[in-house]
Amino acid sequence: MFDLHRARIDNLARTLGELFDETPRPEPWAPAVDVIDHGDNLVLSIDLPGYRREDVVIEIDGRQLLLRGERPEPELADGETPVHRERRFGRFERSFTLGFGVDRERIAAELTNGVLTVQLPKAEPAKPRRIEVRAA
Amino acid sequence: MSAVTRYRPGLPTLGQPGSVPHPLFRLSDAMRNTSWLPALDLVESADGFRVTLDVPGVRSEDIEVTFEAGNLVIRGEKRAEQASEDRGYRLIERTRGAFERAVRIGTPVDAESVSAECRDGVLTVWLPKAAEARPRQIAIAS
Repeated sequence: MFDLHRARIDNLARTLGELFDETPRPEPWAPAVDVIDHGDNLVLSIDLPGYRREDVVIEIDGRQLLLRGERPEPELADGETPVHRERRFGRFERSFTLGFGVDRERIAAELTNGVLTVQLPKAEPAKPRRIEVRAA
Repeated sequence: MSAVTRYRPGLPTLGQPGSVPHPLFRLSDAMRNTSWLPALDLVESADGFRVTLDVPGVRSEDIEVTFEAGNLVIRGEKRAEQASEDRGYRLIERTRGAFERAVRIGTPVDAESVSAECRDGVLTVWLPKAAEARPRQIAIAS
């Protein structure tokens, strides 16, 4: 009985230790995304201020859409001191599961004014097929 | 100690005896039409201050930068790219609408030389220090 409690306390202490002892990891960050369904295509808008085209990767794998990117921390010039910081830098990753197949040939992406727009045209839906039930 | 005091929008001035908001900030953020606050960085050097704001999707003609009595105020509006066809939205995370950020610079600034540039959704404002606020080497006469 006592040992059981002891074990629980040890376990709790370990958990707390893990919570407090470890060096704090940076909070995961992901850009804000809007998704609009236009019927025959889906349009994603992603806020990516300060990103260049080469900083972003868009991947389509089946019905999985993956957005990855990295904004490098700007280097300070000689003699510059940061006074206040709110902007986020570093890597991000976001994935979406699409409810439809994508016509991969017609995917288009554009980065303008810090906003990435991705056009995902829906693939022709499979036509409904009638299956005859044959008599045995 | 830095000469810059950050204007902290949304923080009540209650409980801070003697703090009188600057007339420029007479409207608190709670009352003002600020629907979002762009992230802001501030860097100081011997020559001046550099303020950087993330304003993705905001056109430069929709941004107004003013510098008055030591206060840098950046106002703007992020307009929706799409016409208001709300029915097609599957996800809305991006902020839009009017924004305002203000920074109080305690060091004298050469107000005539304040410049701003907006590129790739990032606004950079450069505030050169006034001559009297820059370090100056004084030659010793022999």
